[in-house]
Amino acid sequence: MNKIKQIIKQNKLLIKKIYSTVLLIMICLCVLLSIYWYIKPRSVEAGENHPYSEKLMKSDKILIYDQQELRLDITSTVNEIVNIGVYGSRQGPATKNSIIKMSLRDDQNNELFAMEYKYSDIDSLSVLALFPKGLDELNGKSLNLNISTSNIDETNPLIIYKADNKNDGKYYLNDTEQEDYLAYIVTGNNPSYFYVWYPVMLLSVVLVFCSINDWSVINGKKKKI
Amino acid sequence: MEKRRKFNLKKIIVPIIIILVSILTELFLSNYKIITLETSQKGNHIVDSRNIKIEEKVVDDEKIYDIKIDNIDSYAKKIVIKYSAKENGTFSLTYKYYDEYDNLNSMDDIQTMLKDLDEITINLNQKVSSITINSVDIENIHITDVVYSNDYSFSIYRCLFVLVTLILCYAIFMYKNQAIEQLHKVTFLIIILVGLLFIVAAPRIANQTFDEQIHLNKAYTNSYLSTAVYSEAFYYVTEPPGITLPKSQESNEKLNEFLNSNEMKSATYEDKSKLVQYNEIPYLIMSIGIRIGNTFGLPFTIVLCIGKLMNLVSYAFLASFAVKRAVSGKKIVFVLALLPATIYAATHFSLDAIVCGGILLSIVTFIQLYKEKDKKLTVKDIAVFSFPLIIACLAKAIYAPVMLLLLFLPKEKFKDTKQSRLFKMSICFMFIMMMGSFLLPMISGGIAADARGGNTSVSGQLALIFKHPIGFIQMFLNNIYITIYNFLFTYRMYNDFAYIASPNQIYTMLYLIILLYVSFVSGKELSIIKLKERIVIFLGVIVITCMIYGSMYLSFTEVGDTVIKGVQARYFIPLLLPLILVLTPRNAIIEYNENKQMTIINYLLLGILLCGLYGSIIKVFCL
Repeated sequence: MNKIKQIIKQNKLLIKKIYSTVLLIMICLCVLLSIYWYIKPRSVEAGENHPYSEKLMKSDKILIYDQQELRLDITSTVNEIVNIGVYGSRQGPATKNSIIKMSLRDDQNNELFAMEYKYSDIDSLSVLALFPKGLDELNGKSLNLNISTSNIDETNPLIIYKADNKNDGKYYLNDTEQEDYLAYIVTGNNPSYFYVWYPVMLLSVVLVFCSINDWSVINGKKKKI
Repeated sequence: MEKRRKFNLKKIIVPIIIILVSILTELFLSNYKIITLETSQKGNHIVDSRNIKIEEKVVDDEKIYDIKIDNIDSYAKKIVIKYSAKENGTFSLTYKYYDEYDNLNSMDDIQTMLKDLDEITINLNQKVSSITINSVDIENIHITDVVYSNDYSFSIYRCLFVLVTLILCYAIFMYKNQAIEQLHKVTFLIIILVGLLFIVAAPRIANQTFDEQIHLNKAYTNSYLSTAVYSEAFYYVTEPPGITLPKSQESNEKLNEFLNSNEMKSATYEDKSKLVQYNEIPYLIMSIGIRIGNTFGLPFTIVLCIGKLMNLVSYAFLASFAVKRAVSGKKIVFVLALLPATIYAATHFSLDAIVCGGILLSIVTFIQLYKEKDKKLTVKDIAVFSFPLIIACLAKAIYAPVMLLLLFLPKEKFKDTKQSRLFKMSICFMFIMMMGSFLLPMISGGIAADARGGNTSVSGQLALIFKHPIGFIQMFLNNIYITIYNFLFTYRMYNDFAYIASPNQIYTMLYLIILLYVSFVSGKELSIIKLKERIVIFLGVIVITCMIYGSMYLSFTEVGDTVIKGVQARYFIPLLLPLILVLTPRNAIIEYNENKQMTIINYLLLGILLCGLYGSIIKVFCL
């Protein structure tokens, strides 16, 4: 321990130089990072979620089968969608070829993403969701979530749950607008400038240390005895 | 040589004696009643099924069932109810017992049959006549056996309690002639040993302190980098509202076994950002403990304990370092460091202890810097002041005004006026940044209101304030005036054990007396802080108090409500030291042997902590 103290004492000027250089590097890094995160903001999770609850299971339902198609129109509140879906369940056992087709379209009716679920994969209460990848700059844009079925008849239909309160989504059954609301989930990411706070906060701490630092040591030389 | 041999002998004999006394004390306390029983009464006794009756009652047009166990008429140390349950069922237990004078009395107790366990053990320690399990949901719970047990037993937790008591009493006795110089060591020892007991003795369910489920969730999530792994056991201990805590050693051991079982190891995986949110940075202290436990594949309940241990150790370091650095008011800092409510928080998943410890160390460092006017400011001083404060403010930004204390540092502490100005400007910048982290997201709508408060809305409250500014000020001041006494002068500030039974009020009174006493005897040491600074510090305390109420009004109170909700006494704990600095008279009231006086205070504080621990935890959960 004493040896270390002695080494530190002998190299005091060098240590002060290193310390001053580290402070300068940290200032530069903080400034660069804050500029970088301002130009290219990091994203934060956002979205609208109708929460799962016991109440939801008891709410009104709509039935979807081969002659009954569902369309949900929403305005996206997220820039990049991670998942979008509704709550659904199965009434009886599924047949082998029964499938659920889901697609996401924009207001020009261009298909953005589509996927199919096996009806047998639906449990008592599941989230029927699409997981699109690479879809961004959607904030404020109108989107349509379409759900149709194949080989599902009205004796064993797909059950979709309604919301118990008002929301921003409108839904249509066979293109007929309905007056009530569906329980739906949209999760995704929005850009946030708040992360700039991290490097700026660190910068403020570094500046406190800079303010009492002896900067003359940077050019200082060891005194010759 | 003789002296050295004596010292070595002492080193061996004292620990042996302490361990032996602890074991013997526990053996005696657990079994002295069993020894006096007749042989026929000892051991386990299965209650004859003919003595178990189900009684049907109709309450509010609903059929409910009481299960009555008659004709016991024997001393029963513990009763074990074996059952199978489809759902968790909370019930009240009424047992009739003969008191010391053979009069028949009755006692009620609330217990829970957990669906995942198959038996519950209840401590009775009485000569019991009959037991009634009230309002049992017999469709969900089927009782298979009732056994009363008069077996010899040994509670490792009470044994550890006696051991810790003896070690700490011995340590305080050893330091009696250097009580003041060694105060930081005593602080560290007491916090670590008493805290460890809290950790091992408390049930492993995260609903024992304020918002513990949320804190555990954040600490656990941040223990992973990009994919968080949540086991079934994690969900079991964090899901609100949480189960009623088992009230015996055996039931808690059964619960721990269940939490560590293979069926509770199955896990779900969730992606998360590698970047830790700024307000979650203080959780990393507990996250490191959880990470270490998980890396070594330790059982879940042990992992939880290591997470809590990290919190405790960090508080112990902050508090004992604050005591060590305190050049003025050392005794006050010591008493505040041993605040039972803070030590309780340090032994659970909570940020309160780190916040209190961090602010305590920062204020103590400021007093030291202020007192040593001739010494130039060093990097170490700034680091010791600002890092604990930054950690505390990341958790609760409302304490950021403490940072402004550095503006009081005199010019003599700096190389020249320019350096002094630069330093103070950078402090102001740092303060603005800290406050910005709290105010900007709130005003811009980036922070959602707390749904636990009901129909809350930050923007709604702000709109209301701008619409009725005079009415708001009137309502705001009225709320502070009505409630502040309730926070500052009741057990909630000093001795609150949150969701488990808090210790008796007498311990709060005793603690307050000690705090007042050390404040009065330390008054002269604090005379360095002059009237001007005292006024500004007092204003700072008022500002922070208003910020506490203000933040709760914005985020936790329903729009339009005239009663500010969510303000809790624990938020004012960090303000105790500044308040004492301001209000203590600067006269030397009592002057006598400081070491003697400190040794007595040490014993009294230890007594308060240990009595609280025994009454609220060991007696309830560990026998």
